[in-house]
Amino acid sequence: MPVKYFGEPATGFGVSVNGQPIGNISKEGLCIDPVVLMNRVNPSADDLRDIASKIDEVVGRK
Amino acid sequence: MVEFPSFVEGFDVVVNGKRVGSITTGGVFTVLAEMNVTISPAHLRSIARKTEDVQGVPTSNQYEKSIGRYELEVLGYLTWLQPFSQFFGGDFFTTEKMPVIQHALKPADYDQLLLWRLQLRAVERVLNLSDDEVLQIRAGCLRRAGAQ
Repeated sequence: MPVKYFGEPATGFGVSVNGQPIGNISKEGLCIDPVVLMNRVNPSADDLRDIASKIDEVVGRK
Repeated sequence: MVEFPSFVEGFDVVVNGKRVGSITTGGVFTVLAEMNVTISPAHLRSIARKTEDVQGVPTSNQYEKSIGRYELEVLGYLTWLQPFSQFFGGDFFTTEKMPVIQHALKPADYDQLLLWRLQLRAVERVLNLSDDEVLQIRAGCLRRAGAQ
């Protein structure tokens, strides 16, 4: 799975896609950091759904 | 709210008024947020659906591709100029002074055009190009493409 989560519930989770950091999970959703233009991140549709599910899990919707 | 305004190469992805990336005609979502923005799970799923919807859409026609090739050359040139921008006067980008470096940049693939377009925006900011200069450059691209 190219999506990885790092950190822990107490400090929050960071998200990387294919090894590229993309942002952090907050209560509201995926907080994207401004990405350096050359540092392209291409999450697939499945990656996006995976992140959405992780957010739901973190905020207790599941 | 998530919106997908279209442009030549595909669709921008705009979440609550902030642009977070683009989906090219090949169905590739590229994250290119220029400021902090948060995307809700529902919006992430909307972007996922849009990415899949766009897959399979025919690539742009030859006319658009010819624009893309020339833009790559021009944008590559502008990017190359970026470190030297402080030495240029305001009239540097007039047509007669703007040499085109043919084949200075080899277009990698169609998706690459998006990246160069974004880099142009960065260059425009660094060089503090006026709206007229930006329009002049882009009109030049269109004229060249139409002449081919």
